[in-house]
Amino acid sequence: MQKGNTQKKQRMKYSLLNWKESCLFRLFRNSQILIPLLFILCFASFFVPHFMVKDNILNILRQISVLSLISIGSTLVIITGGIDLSVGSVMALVAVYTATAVKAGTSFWIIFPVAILFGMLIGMVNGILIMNFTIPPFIVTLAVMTIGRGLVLLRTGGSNITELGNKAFLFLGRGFLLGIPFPIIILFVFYLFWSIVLNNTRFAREVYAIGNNEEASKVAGIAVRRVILYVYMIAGMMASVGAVIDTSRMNTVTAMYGNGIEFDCVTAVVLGGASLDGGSGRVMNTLYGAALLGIINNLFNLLGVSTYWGQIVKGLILILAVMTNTTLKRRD
Amino acid sequence: MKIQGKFNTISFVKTYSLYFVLGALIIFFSIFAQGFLTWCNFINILKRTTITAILSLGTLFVIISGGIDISNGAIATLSSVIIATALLNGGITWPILILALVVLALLIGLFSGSAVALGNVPPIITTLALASMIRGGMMVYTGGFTIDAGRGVLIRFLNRASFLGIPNMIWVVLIMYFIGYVLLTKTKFGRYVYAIGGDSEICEHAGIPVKKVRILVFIFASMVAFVAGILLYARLGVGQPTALINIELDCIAAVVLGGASLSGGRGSIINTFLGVVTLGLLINGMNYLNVVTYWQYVVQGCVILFAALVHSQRK
Repeated sequence: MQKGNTQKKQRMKYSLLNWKESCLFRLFRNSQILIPLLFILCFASFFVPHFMVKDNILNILRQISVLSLISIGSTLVIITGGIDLSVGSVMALVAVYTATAVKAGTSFWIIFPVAILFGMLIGMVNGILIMNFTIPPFIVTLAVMTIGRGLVLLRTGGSNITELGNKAFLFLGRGFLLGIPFPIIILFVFYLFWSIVLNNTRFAREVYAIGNNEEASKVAGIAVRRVILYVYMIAGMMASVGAVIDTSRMNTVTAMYGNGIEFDCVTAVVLGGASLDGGSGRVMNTLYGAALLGIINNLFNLLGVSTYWGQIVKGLILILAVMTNTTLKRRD
Repeated sequence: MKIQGKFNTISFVKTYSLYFVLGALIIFFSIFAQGFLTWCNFINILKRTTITAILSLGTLFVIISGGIDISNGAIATLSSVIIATALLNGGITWPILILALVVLALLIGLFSGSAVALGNVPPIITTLALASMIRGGMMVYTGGFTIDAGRGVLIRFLNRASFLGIPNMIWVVLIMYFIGYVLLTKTKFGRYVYAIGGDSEICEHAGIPVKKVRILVFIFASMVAFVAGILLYARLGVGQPTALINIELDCIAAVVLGGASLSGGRGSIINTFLGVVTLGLLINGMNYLNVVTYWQYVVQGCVILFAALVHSQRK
């Protein structure tokens, strides 16, 4: 039986024009999310007017760029088998800081690094609480989410910060470079960076190993504590990058900014095929997942359906996506 | 591992931490907050925490079974909105309304329970998605407006009337906790809930219907949330789709304060109630001291962390 199988595999490997070995098949196999994504794209461009228009496409891209940036961080967290519910509050804290600093006339070159450090600091708090005090990730990040939201409300008094009015800063979220929205370029840079890191470094292998089996990784000599700390710091960093761009794009920060975005993040990652048990997940697939969510949101807008319907649909999609992922994983 | 007969300071502090915290809070607020230590304020605290108390009961069952529930706030709100709508439209008799609520609670619990038990979706994701769906559905239906059905019998009976000097709302809580206590400690179902939270794999080998128990736990949590929704309607007097946001955090905090383990298998009814009271007391005392309400978020988060920290176990 075993022998027959290997022979069959060998034969398949050497036959030309083999569908199962074609790069298209491998693409779909590795990114099953592409199938619904393409399906929805076709459906939308056929049936929804004003969808396949340059302006709308650029709009979607700009909208999903922030979610994608944050989801990259969440992908890493979920690969390790954790979950980060605090991203929304981290974003709000960073956005409030950014907006205040921009209004005070601080230079962008100071704001951006400080914002990133701020996000990493909160991520570090998450990581330390999870690893050094052995509290489950969702409880830690749930608590940090609440505390962060409380601090934002205390700082803003529940009102909005509007009219930042710094042209150079607004370019970050609203500008175009060579006809491409600037957030997309930032996303591309970050995507390139993280996909290179995740495909080539020892750190990445350790992240996957921990997600697959934490105990075994520890025994194998991986510094589990440090790796997980880094992962949560990266999640905080990506959240703050997203927050800075979003602040610039909206030119406003509301006290409830970022509330509920952790839900979209988890959905995007899970749609990308990552298992919440950890050990699997790819940055590129998360981006496809985020794109799918962005397109669904955009379709609801174009069709004039209440965004609350979007909430219902996204909830269903999340549950179905997790169910398929776990059943597929079990079958493997 | 517990060593019998030998005094262990750490485990002593861990076991009785809730009582220490509660005692310290009462002493602190009695000294610094004028009018805190009165019978009237005590009843007030209990009355304020009725909804959290009832919802925590569901959360407790779910947490003991090794899950987590962050959808009960949305479910309770749904129940209150449905009651308000039914009363506003009229033409529905009480038995039919109650039957409809029970059936709906059953269906919602069945949905989340089977997603967790049969679909292998982690409880946190299931309940997060469910909460989002229910909130979205309510907003679609009400358009974000509150539904005012006037001040009916229900409100008068639950919110205004009292029996033996104790408001009826608190009686409802006591009855619910009694039911919960009996279910958890005196029935086979209760023992199964503890067992599957301890180790579901072993339970499966031992012939315990793990999946069925898991679904039943979610059905129970959903039923309890519907009861909380009735109280919510009585308290607010209207059906408000945006009510009870983030209350699940309060519930988790209360349950964990009450010594339940987030990995399942441990938790007690009475301590959960004390956890709820502790949280309510904290907020009440802060109000007495004129602390800005937004601090409540910070305190809530810190309490969750503190409780999880005290009860965290090294593997």
